[in-house]
Amino acid sequence: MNAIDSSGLISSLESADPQLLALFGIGIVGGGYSAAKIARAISTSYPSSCPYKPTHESYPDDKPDVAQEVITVTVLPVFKEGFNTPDFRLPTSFDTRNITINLPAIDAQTMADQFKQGLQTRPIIDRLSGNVVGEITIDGSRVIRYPHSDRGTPFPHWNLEDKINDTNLHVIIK
Amino acid sequence: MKISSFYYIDYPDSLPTDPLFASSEVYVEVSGTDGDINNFDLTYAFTVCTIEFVRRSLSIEHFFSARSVVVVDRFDDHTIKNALEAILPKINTLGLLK
Repeated sequence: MNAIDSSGLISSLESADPQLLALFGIGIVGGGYSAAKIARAISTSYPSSCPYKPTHESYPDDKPDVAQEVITVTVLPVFKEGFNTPDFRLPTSFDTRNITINLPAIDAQTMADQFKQGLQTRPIIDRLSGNVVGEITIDGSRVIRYPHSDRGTPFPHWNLEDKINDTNLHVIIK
Repeated sequence: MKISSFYYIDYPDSLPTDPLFASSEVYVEVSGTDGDINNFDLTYAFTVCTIEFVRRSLSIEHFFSARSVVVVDRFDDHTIKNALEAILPKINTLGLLK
């Protein structure tokens, strides 16, 4: 379904994918998040008339130790501003397991909460320090790493890992 | 290079009841000397299991298979920390980069 018209605005809330709407901070999310779902939502809603063409980003030169390709998709500010920024980047394919999005802190927290789909979780404890570094659902299917920075995503971000679909969503806190 | 943190996916907030019979995916976060628990470079995953776990798997399944395996005699923090530190110089070839 195409929920966005050629001007980049949402044309029909009724027809829009709730996963996509959630990225805009609109509507009620059902079914939870996964990188695959978000990628699918973005891909089905990408308007062909958008002046900024998708760019498939990888870092073979400056990040030689990062095996997986990292895709950056700046979502919220772009859609809210109607594609007014050239920072809008979409992957040309969605077969990579790591996807990065940028969200305000409160939306990142909301996304992390909804990622759990209401499932009970257990804290993940670092065995060196005893600190809690994340949480995992009781069924082991979803792993949340609390905000941190690493070489692949050198900004404070959450990792939301879906172990069933083998996806890892990097939510950068703006 | 140092281990800034490591944790057990299958025992996220505890240790197994039987340290001689256990297996878990273990995430290892690695940094430079100035890194810390929330500022590190890379995350690797290992399957850490005890020799008894492997032995029983062989007895029942007649094989044992996993990626990036580290076999220990006891599943406890001290043993696993020592094992991970021992393989740290080769972690980029032995571990599964997340």
